[in-house]
Amino acid sequence: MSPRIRRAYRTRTFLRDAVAWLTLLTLGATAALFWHYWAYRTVLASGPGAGVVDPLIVVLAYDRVVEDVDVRHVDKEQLREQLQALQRDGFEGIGLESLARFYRGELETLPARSLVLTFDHGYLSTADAVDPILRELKWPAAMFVMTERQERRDPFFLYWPRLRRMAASGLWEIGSHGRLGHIPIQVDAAGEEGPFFIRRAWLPNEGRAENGDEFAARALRDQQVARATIEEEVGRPVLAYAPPLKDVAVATLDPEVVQAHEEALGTFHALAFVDDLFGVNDRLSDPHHLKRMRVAPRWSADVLQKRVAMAFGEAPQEASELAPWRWVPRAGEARSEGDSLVVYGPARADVWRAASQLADEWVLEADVRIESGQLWIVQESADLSEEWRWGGDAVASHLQRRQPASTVETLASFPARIEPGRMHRLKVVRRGAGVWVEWDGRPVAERPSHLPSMPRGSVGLVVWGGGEPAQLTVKNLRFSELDYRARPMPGQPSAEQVQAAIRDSPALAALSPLWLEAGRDGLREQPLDRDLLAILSRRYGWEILPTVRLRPDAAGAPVARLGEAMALVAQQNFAGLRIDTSGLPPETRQEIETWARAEESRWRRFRLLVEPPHGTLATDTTGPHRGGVRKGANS
Amino acid sequence: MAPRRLPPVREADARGRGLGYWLIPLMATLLFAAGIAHVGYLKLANVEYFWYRPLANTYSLLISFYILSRFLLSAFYRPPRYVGYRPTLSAVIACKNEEKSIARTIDCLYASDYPEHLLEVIAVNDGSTDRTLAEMQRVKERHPKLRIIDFGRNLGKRHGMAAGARAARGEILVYVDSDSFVRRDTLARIVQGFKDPDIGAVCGHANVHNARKNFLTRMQEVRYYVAFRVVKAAESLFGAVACCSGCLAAYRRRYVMEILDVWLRQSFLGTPATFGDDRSLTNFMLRRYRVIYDSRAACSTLVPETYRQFFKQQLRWKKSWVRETFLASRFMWRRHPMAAFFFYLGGLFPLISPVVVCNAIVLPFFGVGEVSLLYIYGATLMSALYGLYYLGRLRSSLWVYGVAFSFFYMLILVWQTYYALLTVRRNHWGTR
Repeated sequence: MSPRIRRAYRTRTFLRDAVAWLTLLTLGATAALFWHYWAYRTVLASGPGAGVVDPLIVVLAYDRVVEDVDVRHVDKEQLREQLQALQRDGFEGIGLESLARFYRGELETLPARSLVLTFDHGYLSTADAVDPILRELKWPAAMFVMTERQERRDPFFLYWPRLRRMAASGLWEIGSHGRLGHIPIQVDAAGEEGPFFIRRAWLPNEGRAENGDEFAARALRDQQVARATIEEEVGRPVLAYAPPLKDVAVATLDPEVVQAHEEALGTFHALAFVDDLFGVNDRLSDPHHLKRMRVAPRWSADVLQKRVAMAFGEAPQEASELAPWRWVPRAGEARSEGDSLVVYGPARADVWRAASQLADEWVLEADVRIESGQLWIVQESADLSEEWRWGGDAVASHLQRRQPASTVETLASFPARIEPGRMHRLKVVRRGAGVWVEWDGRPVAERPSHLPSMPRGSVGLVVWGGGEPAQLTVKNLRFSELDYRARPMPGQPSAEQVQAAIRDSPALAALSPLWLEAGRDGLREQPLDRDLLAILSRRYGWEILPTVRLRPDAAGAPVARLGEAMALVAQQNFAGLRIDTSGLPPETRQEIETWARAEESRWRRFRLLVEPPHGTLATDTTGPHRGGVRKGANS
Repeated sequence: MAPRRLPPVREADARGRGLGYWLIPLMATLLFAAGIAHVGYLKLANVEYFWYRPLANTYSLLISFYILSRFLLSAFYRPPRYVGYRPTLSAVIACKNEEKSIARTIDCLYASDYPEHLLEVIAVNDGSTDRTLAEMQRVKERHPKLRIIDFGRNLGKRHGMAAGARAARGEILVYVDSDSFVRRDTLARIVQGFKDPDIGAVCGHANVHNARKNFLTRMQEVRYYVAFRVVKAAESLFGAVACCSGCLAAYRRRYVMEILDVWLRQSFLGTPATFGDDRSLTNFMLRRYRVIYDSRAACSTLVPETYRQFFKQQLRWKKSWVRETFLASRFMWRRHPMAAFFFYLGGLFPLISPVVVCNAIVLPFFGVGEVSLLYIYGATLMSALYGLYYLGRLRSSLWVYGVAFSFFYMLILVWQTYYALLTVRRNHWGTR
């Protein structure tokens, strides 16, 4: 190239605009920083405010939420009204982290009325519609995402950048909904397909369906991958899991599948949620089976308010047992007809009592009539892993223990018959470790029946039509909570003392033999007739709560003594401890009650009964339905 | 003594200052502002849901940003100040077969408010086969100082321009198309920019002379106005006007002479470059100097009146756009970063747009995907912005033709880019 041509093509250097370049780069960097801090700004920094040791936690589950009115989904305004109504009722939103810390014992208290908002599937429209409301209310929420949707970049669902921003705002926590969920997979040789999560996959190379272990491994792997993916993409730990299918036990009759799901719930996450009619949890709830109430698209704010209030056991005492939302059907339908409740369905129908899962001891009374088939009074365990039931048909009645999709174990059979077309009087008392049933005004057995485990969950009436449509009519219905009654007695009771207890057995929850004496010098064991107590417990369905008596000279360090006593009692597999404080000055008694409340919140299913009660405790009224320490009634 | 100030140019033809005189621009401005705000609102969705369709959203954001940036930057544009600068000036008209308009073009130049001793006019006859040369000679009788260069045979416009530059004695070369008519103040204004030695070229403003002739010319009227007053004005802000239109452009002769031989022998992909002379000369200036636009140095020009002529002209422009954009892309990054950014952005859109149009409008007719109503809406909104801008500035009812032109471009002209790409080496003249 000649110099002349080179000269012609000579260009100016960009350094002539160095200032512009610098300015532009600086502006660009500033804008990028500003955008980053703006997009990832924290909206909600603090956890919940002051609370109580024994809160009630209501968990609401929403499917898709949309911006505009749509009969198939909850819409934005509807949600806003619902949440504002709950806020007016004193609910305070809490996040998964607070909840997990509470169940781990790292957080002593939660707001008395805690509300956990959860949204399933990770719909984009949900985030769009809900986010402004959360910002307004300063309430946190959890979004459960099924990561296969993010992998597939399904445009209806949230993508990772948005999820990261949501998590950074402090308003949202991202939970796992599994990875593949209900994606269809091949389940047999013919090419039949079924949901990934409840059917055994067909293994074409081996010409068989996977076995229980293989299914369990696959279910766990799915969860593990989902969790790892979310943690990697969002950069925060995944605290909670919500199974992608609501009621696995109903969706499949395969016990190994159900079993695998049970295991999956508790394996990888601090919290796991299951669907429930009421969605109310408390300190004693299993963090791997926290109950969520699924909000139906047609529910107005008023309906939700009523349902939550009923689930909390907050209906006015004088309100009729048939007040709306107190008995809620799961299968079939229920309606009030005058003074009776009529429950009906094509083959099965049921109704469940709101707030019954919060009652340890209760009594159910009713006049019942079925038109055909069988009637059962059922109580599910909180984690839905088992249930006990009393009921039967025109031939006989039984007390049974049942695991979903598994065999039924009959604990006892009774001659009492449930005759279709006739009104029967029913009374069921659930207390201690047993149950007492009266049918048509007469006990079905001489003594209460013992229940080998102690489920605590919703109580319901279930009717099977037996080939005909199921129908149940209920009148004079009453469900009420009972006091926990423990009968103090010596470690080696006399025959008279035992007879007196047996006379009171229907209402008596526990025997409380004196076992330990606590003084300045330590614990002293008193002789205990363990064999007799074990037989009595088994025969009459009583719990055994050994008594520790605090001598006045223990007043200096009662708490240390009690700790030792608790350890000893727990070691011997007793259900709890009764603390006799009668010999102590009032301030020491108060100190002990406070200690017991805190201690009971740390232990699960361990009763601490402080007697006589110190009547001046302010904390008794702070809980929504009861104080932290169970107060017994001497009998 | 040169006057220190020239009377302002009336851009609008104000026929009486009735209510409409104030109301129309006000309404147009309000609607324009609303349109801009609405575009901004629509773009928020592109940002928010960016990752759902990253490519489409990038395109949508960039093209809106590009168009809005034209309006925004042009709002900051100020034409060169009149400083009474009076260099010697040579006006060059290179033409072929322009017997109808050449006389008037030359007459207009001589009618300029520019001192006669500083002005020379050179007419180059590039082998016309009609009476163009005779017309020139007839004009010479009226203006004896007119210099005529006759090639005797057709060499191409570039050679005509080069011959004019060589023959010229003025410091400033003003190229005027043979169908463009300058105003009395045009020459006095166009030289003002050259007071700054960094300026290599100044592009004048062109109005459409035959605007009210038919639908096509009406559309071109709006198109010209926006292309000059918005696009070139925005480019001018950074001294990087991409093309000094052949209708009216001034160059510093010394700078032209530096590259004249190279420019004359320019070839592209092995074929001599024989069209798009204005764009290629501008490119040579852009390498080293600033190129600005002077909205007050105006001429009026005749635009194609038939679709056949129009398409030929557009194809020629597109081909030169392809060639010169490619060449300029090799050095534009050395220019002002804003100029460079918008240059590369502007180079990208004509290549992508056909794909987008195809995807949004055409393929759906063949059963692939759905018609993108949002795209059509966005395009309408953007074209309405052009129209409203025109209305607000000129109070002319022709503004709706601007909207029409956008659709004309979107549906018909947009495809020409690919054709131009494929045929960029074919050199035959698309004569008017």
